This record gives sequence, structure tokens and C-alpha cells, in this order.
Amino acid sequence: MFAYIVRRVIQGIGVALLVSFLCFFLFQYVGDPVLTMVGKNATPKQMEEVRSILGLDKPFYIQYLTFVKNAFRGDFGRSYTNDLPVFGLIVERAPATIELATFAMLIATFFGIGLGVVVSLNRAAVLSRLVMAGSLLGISLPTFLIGLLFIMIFAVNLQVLPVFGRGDIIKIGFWRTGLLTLSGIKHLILPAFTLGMYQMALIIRLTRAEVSEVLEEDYVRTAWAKGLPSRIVIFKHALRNSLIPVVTMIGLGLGEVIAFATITETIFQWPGMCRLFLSSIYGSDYPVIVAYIVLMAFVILLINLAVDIFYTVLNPKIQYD
Amino acid sequence: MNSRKAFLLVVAVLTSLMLSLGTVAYANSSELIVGIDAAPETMDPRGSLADSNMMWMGNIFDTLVQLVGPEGEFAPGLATSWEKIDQLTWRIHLRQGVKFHNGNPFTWEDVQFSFERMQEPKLSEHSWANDVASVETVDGDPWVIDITTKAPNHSLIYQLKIGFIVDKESTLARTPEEVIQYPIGTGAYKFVEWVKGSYLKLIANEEYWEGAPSITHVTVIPIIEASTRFAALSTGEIDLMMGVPLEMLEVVQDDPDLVMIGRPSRRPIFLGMSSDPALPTSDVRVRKAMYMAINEEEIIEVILRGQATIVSQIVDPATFGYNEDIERFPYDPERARELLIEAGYPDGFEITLQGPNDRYVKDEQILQAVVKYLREVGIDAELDAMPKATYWGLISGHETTFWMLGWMNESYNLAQVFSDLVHSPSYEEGYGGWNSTYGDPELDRLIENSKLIQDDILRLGALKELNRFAMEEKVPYIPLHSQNDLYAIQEGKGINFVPRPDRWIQLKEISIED
Repeated sequence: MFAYIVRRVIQGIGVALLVSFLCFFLFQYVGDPVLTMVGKNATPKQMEEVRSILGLDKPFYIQYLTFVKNAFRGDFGRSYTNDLPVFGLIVERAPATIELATFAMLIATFFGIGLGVVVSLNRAAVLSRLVMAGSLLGISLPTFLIGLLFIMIFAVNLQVLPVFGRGDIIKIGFWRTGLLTLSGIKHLILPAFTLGMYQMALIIRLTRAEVSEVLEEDYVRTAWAKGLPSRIVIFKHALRNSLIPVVTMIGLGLGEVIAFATITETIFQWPGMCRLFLSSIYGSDYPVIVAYIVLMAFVILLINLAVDIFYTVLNPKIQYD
Repeated sequence: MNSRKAFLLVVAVLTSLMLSLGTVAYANSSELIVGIDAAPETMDPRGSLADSNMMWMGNIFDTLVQLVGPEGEFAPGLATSWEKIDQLTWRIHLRQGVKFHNGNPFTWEDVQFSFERMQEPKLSEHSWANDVASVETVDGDPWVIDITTKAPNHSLIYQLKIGFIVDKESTLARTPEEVIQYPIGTGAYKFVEWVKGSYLKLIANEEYWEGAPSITHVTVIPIIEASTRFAALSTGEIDLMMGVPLEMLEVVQDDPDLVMIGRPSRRPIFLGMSSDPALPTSDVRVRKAMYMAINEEEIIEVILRGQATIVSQIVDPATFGYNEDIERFPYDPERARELLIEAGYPDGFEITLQGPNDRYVKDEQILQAVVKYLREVGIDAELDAMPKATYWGLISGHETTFWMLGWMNESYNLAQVFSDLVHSPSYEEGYGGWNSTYGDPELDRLIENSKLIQDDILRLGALKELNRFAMEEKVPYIPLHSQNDLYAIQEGKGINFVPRPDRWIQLKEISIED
């Protein structure tokens, strides 16, 4: 197991190197950060001065190697926009995104697996058909539309939930949490449902398919025939054996909602790191862009690793050696 | 039991203390929540020239000269008066008895230090400050200083409006990270808290030299998505909304609880054309034909829903050198076709219009309309719209031959605008940095000569004439319009707000009636 984890981490470093290399390669084609930095009244001479101070006059592979050298010491450079250390900027905004993404996935998992099981047990029932139709909507409606609809219905018309932001925040160390105040929880509901909607729909459909299949297996029939209580048959025999693909999907989904909650964060003005990422793209703020992408590659790697390890819990037959 | 009682007592005492602290200082507490369309990203005065950063620093910091009110008049700030001693020297009398928010007194050394700080190329966007050679006291009087420039600079005094004065002592004593995130100025509002991307909180400076501002507590909330910003205004979560998108015009106007406020921006939008002799646009008849082919009134009416002002030149009325006598060429496609025939292009020619699709209000639709109008007079026009991050490089790299640009000048000086946009690009002399590919020796000479005129009135006359000559005879640009800046407020809250020409929200100019 330990050897496996080490191997995966080494793979992860390889991926991060590749991803950051691609970033630097592409930066050559996506606009000049110096233009946004020096202000419009700067002379070409001043621009060149800044370019050479930043090392942007060097070929991209030199810039890349400098980045790698510094990144291994934990230094991701300073933002072109406000000259603050990039790592701090991202970490400062991470709690908002992590709280939102975690809640979105909790909602998606809870409702997704629950409804998926219910639907697979009574496939012909009206309720099941409604849930399946709803899940199609959840998959096909774009996030920004869901978000705006939620705002219109719950915030503007019914006025039961707030429109934007995180509400009252309590600071514990560097972590700003909205989970400890009523206002914070209220502010979390709409964005979390918006972000979780798509994942929930996927999980419903996948759970239904997997559970339905397993319900046809001989060992489940045997379990019924033995006269086991339905709770045990469904949860222990059927669901547990259907979960491996579902857990994989949840892991992938979590990575996705952490790294790419951009649209939800924009609509609800959620002050998370995806918004920071977006504004960095607009401002050609290379250090933030590349650090964010590398960090997210690691986050996704860690989540996948956790999923792999969780497999062994679900199915002891799986071993990594 | 005892320890629990003691705990409750401590909590009670602390709570009442906090409550009393909160109320004692401000007998007439009033609060304003502003929803804005672009988040501030730095609180370091030299760190940015972007409105989204400057306008909030403009509430925390003072400048030597300030712009006040809806008409944008220049008024004394930390300078009480100023005069031009000679071509290179501005003599400035400083305001006495002003204190920074940390209690430090404002002195001439803070002014000198602020300029030195703005001149560091890597960290400062304020390239205009590089024109300053020195800031020194006069005859040892600490309240009179001379600002000397490297070359004659007639608009320096206007540019002082964006030169925020920082506290030398605390700026040097703190780390750069602290300076960028915790601003200390002399302004009407003191910095309270800034959570990036979330909110900025300010509190009235009761000791402000102009007198304490009317509104005591201000929260600035960036809400980038316009529909969310509007939803927040309509539920009353914010009081004042900056940037009403045109799509929401009717919704805002139809809502009885909301008031919309608009004013023309200082940013004319225009089209530039190359003067490369190999291209048809080098012929002024072709340039005029393209000008006359564009139905600007229809663009404003249909695309901009009337929320724009038609313009005839590339500077706004507040600029030194604006000429109110310049008239637009009329929309006349017939005459445009004749001009094309005269110029030797009866069958038109191929041309590609380049422009941004994420910078100006409805930029891409406007570009599409221009292409359509040009095709109607027989010019085979194509459109190449792209994100601004890519697009700016085409202009500053002098690569595009038919381009769109909007320009808000901070110099308030036509000579500066023409130096940057009309003078043929010259790397060595610093001319034409934002002029892609236009150049005309006669205009170059006139621009350079205008800078040599010492007398303000004579120079004004020369600049006005230069402006007219350029726009009517040479047509370096086809002027289109100035988009309107749109704001909306909650009707019932008694907010007195009049927008400024520079689009800054100066909180001390806003008040709330009970």
C-alpha cells in the first residue's frame, strides 16, 4: 500500500510538471501581462524594462525552468496584479471553495444515492419516472441558468434566502468559515445546490443503473430467498456491491467542483479561489494561473488516491501491491 | 457553578463593552452598501491605474489636487494652491495640520516619498510620475514645495489627481504585503477590513480636513455577475448598484422601487485606420468614405438602446483642447460611394476590422454593425473580434490596420492624447505607443510644436485648431460615441448620489437623508 501511494505521488509530480509546462507554452500566445501591468501611458522603453525585470524577455523554457526551481522550494512567485505572494492569495480564498464544494458533493451524494436506490427498487412508479426526468434536467440545464433560477425564486420572489456572498464569517486561524453562523449556512444553501445539481443527477442515474444490475444477480436472489430483511439485502448486498463506480464518480465530481466551481462562484459572488482563477485569466496574471492549475492537479490526484484507498474498504479483494 | 457564573459575567461585560464602543463614536450612524462590477485587487496606491482599484483608494488617500463634483472640477486637495514658476517647475503650497489615519502628521517628505515610490518601474503603474525630476522644499519652508519635471509638462497638475500621498514612516516600517493590504492615508474614509473578492469596509474619518463625511459606515461589495447585482439591489441587500447592463434597462426602469442614474462617460470609442501607402486607407477620401458609411445614430439607437452620446472627436469636453465646433461627417452612403470612386476603388476593397469582444459595452455588436455598413457601400469588410488580452498586443505591437479603441485620458490634455494615439509611433521618443499603424508627418509636426507654446491661452487655441484640422481634414480616427455610465439606487432610502465624470465613487460626495 505504502509503495503504491509513493508511486502515485511521484506520478502526480510528473503530471504537475507536464501541466505547468503546457501553461508556460501557452502563455506565449495569450496576451502580454506587461501591457496590463504598466498602465496605458507607459512608453515602450518602460515596458521593456518591466519585461526584463520579470524575466518575460527570456524564452519560455527558461521561464519554465525558473518556475520549477522555485516551485520545488514552495515559492510560486508573486501576482502580477497586486504583487502579493501567489500561494497566499490562493490559500486565502481556498476555504470558501472547499466549504462550498464539500457541501455540494454531500448534497449530491446523499440525494443522489438515496434517490438512485429508491428509483431502482420501483422503476415503474410515477415518482421514479419523475426523479429520472428531473435528473435529465439536472444534467442538461446549464449551471448559470439553475443559479439564476434559484436566485429569482428563493431570493427575489420568496425572499427566504440571500442572493450572494457568504454571510457572517468566523475566522479560525487562516480559515474563514461560514458554517458556524446561521447567516453563513443560509448563504451556502443556494450555491451548494446549484453546484451539486449536475453531480446529483449523474449519481442518481449511475446508482440506479448499478443497483438495478446487482439486484438481478444470483447472490441477491439467494439473499431474498433466505428471507433476509430487505434493509440488509438492499444496503449490504446490493448497494455495497454497486458502489465502486459510484464512489469513483463522486471522487471525480469532488475534484471537478473544487477546481471548476467558477460559474457558481461568479453567479453567487462566492469569494472562492475559482473566481480568483477567472480574474487572473482576464488579467493575464501568469503566476496565479500556473500555481492554481498545479495545485488543482495535486488536489485531484489526492482525491483519486483517497478513492483508490476507499475501494479496499468496499471490496477487500482489491489490493495494491 | 461558580466558574459558569463568572464566565457569563465576563461575556455580559464584554458584550456591553463592544456594543457601547460601536455606538459611542458615531451618534448619527448611517450605512451605505455599494455593489460594484469589478473587484478591487490592490490597496497600494502605486500598484494600479485601473478605476476599480483607484476609486476606493481615492476614498482612503488624498491627492495634492482633487477632482470634485458632477462636472469634474479641479480643486485643492493636500495642496492649497499651485502656480507655474517656469517651464519645468510647479510651486505648490501644502495644507497644514492634516493627519494620516495612524496619527502621523502629513509633511512635504510624504509627498516626496510618494513620488519616489511611484517611479519604481516594476511595482508602479504610474508611469506619468517618471516625468518628475525632483520634489524639494523652497527656501527651507516645509509647506512650500517645487515639483520639477524633466521636460515641459503642461498637464502635470491634472495628473496629480491620481497621485495618492502615502505616509512615509509607516510605509517604510511595514512589509510590502502589509502596505498592499492595509492602506493608511489622509482621506475621508479609514480602512477597516478587506476580504479579497468578498467586501471592503470603510469608516468615516471624523477628523477629515474637509469635515467629517456624511455617511459613517460603508461596505463595498464586488458582484461581477450583473443579474446577481441587480437581484441584490432589488432585495435591498445593496443600496447602490454600479454598472447596469443594457439588457436590464427596462427591468430597472419599470421597477417603482429603483431609480436609474446615467451620465456620459469620458471614454469616446473610435475606429483607427492604417496610413500604410500600400493600403486603400492611406487615401483620406477612403477614410472619409468609411466615416460617412457608418450610421452611428442607428448604432446608438438599436445596439446601445439610446444609452450613449454621439461624438465628433476622440477627447471628451473636459479635455484641454476639446473643440466644440468640430462637426461629424454626416451619414451619407451615397457620398461615401462617390468618394470611393474618386479614390479609385469603384469595386471597393478587402479590409479586416479588429476589435475586442470583452472590453466596451456591446463592442462586438458594434463591430458587426460597422462591417455591415461598410459592405453596404461596397467595401468587402470582415470582422476579427477577440478577447482584449490578445487584442491589446495587436495595437501596442502596431500590427492591426483597422481597429477599435476607447480612450479615457487621465491627462485632460489633447496634446498627450494625440501624442499617444495620433503621432506616428516612435519608440525612441515615446510617441504613438497606442497608435497601431497611423502616421502623418504634418500632424506629427503640429503635435510636437504645440508642446513648445508657453502661454496657456495660445496653446489652447493651437490645440483646438490641431484637433479640428485632424478630425476634419486628416481623419486619423472615425469617432463613434461615448457610452453612458449607468447606476441604479433604491428609491426609498434617500440616497443623494450624482455620478462623476471619472466614474469614481467618492463617498464623501454621497449623503443619506433620514
